[in-house]
Amino acid sequence: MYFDDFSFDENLDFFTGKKIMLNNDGYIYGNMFKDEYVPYKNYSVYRLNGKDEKERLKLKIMEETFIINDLNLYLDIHPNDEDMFNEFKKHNKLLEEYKNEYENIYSSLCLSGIKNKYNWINSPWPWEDKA
Amino acid sequence: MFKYEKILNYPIEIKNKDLKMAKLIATQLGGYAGELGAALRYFSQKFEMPDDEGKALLNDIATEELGHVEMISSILNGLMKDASLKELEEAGLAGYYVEHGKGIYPVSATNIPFDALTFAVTGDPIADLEEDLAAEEKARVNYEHIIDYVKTDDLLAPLLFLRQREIVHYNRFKELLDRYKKELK
Repeated sequence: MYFDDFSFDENLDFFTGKKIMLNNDGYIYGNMFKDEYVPYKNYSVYRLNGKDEKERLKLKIMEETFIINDLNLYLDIHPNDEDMFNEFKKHNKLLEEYKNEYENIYSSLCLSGIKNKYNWINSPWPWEDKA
Repeated sequence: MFKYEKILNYPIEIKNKDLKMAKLIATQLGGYAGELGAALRYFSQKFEMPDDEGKALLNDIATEELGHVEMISSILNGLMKDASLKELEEAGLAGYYVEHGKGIYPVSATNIPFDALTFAVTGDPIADLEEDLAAEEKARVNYEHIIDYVKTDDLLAPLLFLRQREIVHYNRFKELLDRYKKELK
């Protein structure tokens, strides 16, 4: 499970560094640009933990997918920002590596990831993850 | 076109059934500021955006919102699936059960079915984007009102994440709107 070790983390390197979040912290905050985070009341963010190798790898894929999504929205209206485009390319490459690794060891995440066996129908589906 | 990926936008693992929370969180699927309306709003409005940036942004935020529909639906499924008939009745969900079983159907917290009149497509990019800013703000406030009632980490984590996404979308829409207001005069 992902939430077995919920903890508020006060040591995040959030307010230092560049415009973009460091160490992929953006995923747990829900935004990749550090000046955009607006906390609600005194709630903090949650670290996400996979309970085993499979979950940790899947979490990396989800994290990279999120990063690409958030940079994608920014690049849509700033298509000439070369620095951000380089970030985007870097994470796209990481996502491809993680997905390949996951699909080779476990199961396909998309139709084009089906390798030797038709495992697309295998449970659990994303909405069936058990706590 | 769309392609399905077998991952959620953010992990959802609901620990215990909780019908009272399900009734409240349902509004982020079928309510006036829910994720379903958000996805349809931007998906429908994109056709009349005047430039490549606008078409891309509305298209891509609509796509993300569909992922949020799946997140909220997964939460509702986790909160409801193990409930008994008696528990459903005690939570005021007997009527819901009669019509939908324990399936996921878009209704608001005040039990109004999803309505396409919760959003508009005017064909005017400035009018549409003004609505989009308001929609993101309303969704953020609804998430905050739900969070005020939430006590467990398995719900707080994804709801705080989704609330922050409303803020990010607001910022992107605002940038685009400010640009159009200058350029389209």
